[in-house]
Amino acid sequence: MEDQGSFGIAPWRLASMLDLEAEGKGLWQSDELGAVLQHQLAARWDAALGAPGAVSAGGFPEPAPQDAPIGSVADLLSHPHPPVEWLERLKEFAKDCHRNPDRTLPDEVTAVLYLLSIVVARIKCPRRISRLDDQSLRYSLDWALSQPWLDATSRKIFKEGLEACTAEIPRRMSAECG
Amino acid sequence: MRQRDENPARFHTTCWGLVAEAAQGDREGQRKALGQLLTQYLPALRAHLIHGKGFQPDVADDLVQEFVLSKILQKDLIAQANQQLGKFRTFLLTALDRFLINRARDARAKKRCPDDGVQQEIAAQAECRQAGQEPSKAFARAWAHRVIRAGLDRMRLECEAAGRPDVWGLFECRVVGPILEGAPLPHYRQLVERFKLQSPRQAMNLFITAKRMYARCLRSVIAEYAGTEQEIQTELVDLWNVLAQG
Repeated sequence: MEDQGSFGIAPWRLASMLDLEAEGKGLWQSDELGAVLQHQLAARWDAALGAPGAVSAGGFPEPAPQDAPIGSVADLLSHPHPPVEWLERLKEFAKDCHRNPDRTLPDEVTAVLYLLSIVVARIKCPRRISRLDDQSLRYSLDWALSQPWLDATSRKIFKEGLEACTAEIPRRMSAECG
Repeated sequence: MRQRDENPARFHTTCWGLVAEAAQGDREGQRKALGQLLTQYLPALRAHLIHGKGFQPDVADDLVQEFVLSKILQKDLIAQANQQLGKFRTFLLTALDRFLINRARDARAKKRCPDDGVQQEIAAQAECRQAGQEPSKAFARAWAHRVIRAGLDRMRLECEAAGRPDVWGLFECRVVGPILEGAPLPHYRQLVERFKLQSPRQAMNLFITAKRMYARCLRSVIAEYAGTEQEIQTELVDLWNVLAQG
């Protein structure tokens, strides 16, 4: 039975109120990861990724006039012709989050964002914006697809990415042999 | 949320400043300083008697009251406190323990005559300390609890003054409530809705702002009885150790 201490509070719980160093790490629980990812995907691009105006100030190309505007990360990922610069920005954002000691996003969510950016770039642009080799990418996509909190849209993108990786192996083999 | 019984102003004067005032100030200053000191330390002394020594709460109340009357007020105990010799709370705790031992001795001497029961309990408790529990652990826990509460009260007031109810609100419902009040942990979705958060980045920034603010408030509370930055850090580690060891 848990020791409830002098005030009906377990001492170890009280001790956590003296742990002043731990910043954002571990703030969100595993059952909240799906909600955090959804919020990140749906948030306005500027609010989600950086200071307002950062994208246009960076000289990013706007989507073609006939295409839908990009207001959020979800818009970018579902866009028929996503500008590769925006996907690269998303990839860099995910990397920065991972490096940031304040952990703006949980590691699992930044990993999914990172993978979404490189898979969408590869399928729709089509460009490789990462140095991940196919074997590593497949391994990462398998991991992402095994996450129970992953949403249906991201799951679909990852499955397409997995198919693209797998389809490229015979092509590359025949090119190397030929 | 539970009604708070602490007054954040309690830590507004340094502990040793209060000790000096209680020992050497003018009559009115002495009275006020002593009042503040007792308000700060009596709950921890009471916790020491109940949880460290195993006294019944009503007996502990009687003992604390008697200790204050006979040692602190009548024998001017505070004047003997010396900052160079260590923490004030250790000084106070040692004095309380000595007081208990003397009471036990008196009780043994009175065994020949009829007793009120309290004396018997004092004798018994003072002679057999509870197995496995350091006598000062309950005191330190109670003190840690008090310091944390004071830090939180200060943070809440600062947030109110700065017009940042969101900072306090997020910290209260995500950290303070679940840890100190046993409240359920609100889900991320609920936080987004309640605080109208635009993105996870905003949620995390708000949380980190709150955590840093709390850390600063907690340190400022400790700074009022631990002088230097190193002493503050040592005190934090000491309190953490006594709590983490369970």
